[in-house]
Amino acid sequence: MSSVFRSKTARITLSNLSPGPNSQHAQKRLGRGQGSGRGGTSGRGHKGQKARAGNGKPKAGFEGGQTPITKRFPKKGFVNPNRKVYAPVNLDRIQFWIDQGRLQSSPENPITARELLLSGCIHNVHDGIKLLGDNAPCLKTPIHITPSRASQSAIKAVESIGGSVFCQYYNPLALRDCVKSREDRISAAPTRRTDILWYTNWHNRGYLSPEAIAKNPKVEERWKELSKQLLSFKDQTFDTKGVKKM
Amino acid sequence: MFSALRKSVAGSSQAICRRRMATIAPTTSQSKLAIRKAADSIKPVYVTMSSFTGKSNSAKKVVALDPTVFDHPIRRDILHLCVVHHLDSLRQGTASTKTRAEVAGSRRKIRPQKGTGRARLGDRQSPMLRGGGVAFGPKPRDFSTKLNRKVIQMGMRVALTMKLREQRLGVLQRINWWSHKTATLNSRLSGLGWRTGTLFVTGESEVPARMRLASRNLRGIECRTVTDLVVYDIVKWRRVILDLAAVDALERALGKGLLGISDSERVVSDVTHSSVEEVEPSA
Repeated sequence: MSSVFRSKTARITLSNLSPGPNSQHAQKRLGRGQGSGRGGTSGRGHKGQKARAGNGKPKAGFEGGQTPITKRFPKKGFVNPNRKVYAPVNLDRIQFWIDQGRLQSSPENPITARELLLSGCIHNVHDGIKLLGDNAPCLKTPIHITPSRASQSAIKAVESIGGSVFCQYYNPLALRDCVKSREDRISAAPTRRTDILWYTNWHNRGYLSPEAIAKNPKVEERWKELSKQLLSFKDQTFDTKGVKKM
Repeated sequence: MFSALRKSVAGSSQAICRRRMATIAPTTSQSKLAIRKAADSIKPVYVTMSSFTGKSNSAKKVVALDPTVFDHPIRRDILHLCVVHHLDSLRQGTASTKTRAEVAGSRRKIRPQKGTGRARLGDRQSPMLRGGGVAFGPKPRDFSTKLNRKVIQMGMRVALTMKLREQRLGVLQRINWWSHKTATLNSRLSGLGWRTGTLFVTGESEVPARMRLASRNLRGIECRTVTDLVVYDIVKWRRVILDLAAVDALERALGKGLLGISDSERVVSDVTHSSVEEVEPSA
């Protein structure tokens, strides 16, 4: 460490750092006298609405009093409050990440949104991960993955070489806990009818379907009860004998 | 031209490849070969291994470092960006004053508009009056700025390179001390000339307990894990000492992966400085 030779140039310290040349702009100083070039009217010209303080431009969309285009035509479309944006992940990309050693998976430690995000396979988890099957023949390694959704081609490709896919429901809080690897909270179960139907269906590899409950090594005790309750409607019958007909 | 190229690639690998990732995936062996070819021209940079026991000429060891991390062109402007970004993030931003709306009191007009011979006044909270609110005063706000991740990573490479070229970067086998007593560490560091402004960075999950206890009351000595290391620290501290685990962690996080230095190649022992240049990595 202590050496005879020291470089001649000054050591870089906190006191001699500076921004790159020409990367910064000097502040415009208005109304500081004739010599400054911006004294007098401060670059606003003479008298009138534009020379006064506080007079901004009219609101965006204001067309000088003429009915603006936003009012001229009727409203169209709607905003879907239940919309979900899934981060797409394709099988070829996952294979590439595995080849580089950036992703691993085992039945006990499946790939989740956390692994994909931390390895840089996706840059944002959005509302969950959707596994897609682009270039499915590229996939050579059996992978075990827990996305929010998976396409049929992806499921087929993964399972044909001995991997597993279990689609798990994540609400925003559960997804955040997954990404932050927090386990102190119970993750929410699906509550919307469409979600319940989707995640209890083995066709979608839903994690609450009886087949997934039987096969998934990471199954939680709570899911078994949930699965039973959410699917009980299928074999529920109603006793209509005692009910009077109106 | 590109379409023709793509066709030839698709023909050779017999796969329908629409995305760039996909073109690489089936030809991993080829791409590895290309990387290896490129790596032939890249040579590691070397730094003499330091030790707490001081210099012993008999068994001088040299540490091989990844040049993509430890031999980066010096960019002072990037260091400036990183330092300012870090210092911005440290600002509390809790300064707060009351505006005229927030100052307690009645909104009563304090004297008639006309006839008193004195100035027109409204309520007591006017910023013009003593005890009134503050006009344009500070309000709590977040001063933190955004800096792109890749710029921060580059800043770290520049800072490490800078310290290495200034010969103020040391590498130890492991950062630990045999005793928890501060006096012992103090005398040893004084002997090494490391007593003033030395930052020890360990790649382990936390600073070894005895080292932490021995050093924590020493001014001008600080121990830190590599996960907590920021560019600001490297610029600020006079001398930075890494351990081998920290070097590994930094190269993993910042390296381009063109030159894989394995554990066995990391420490080159018993060579003079001139012959070090000739030592070539077998990777």
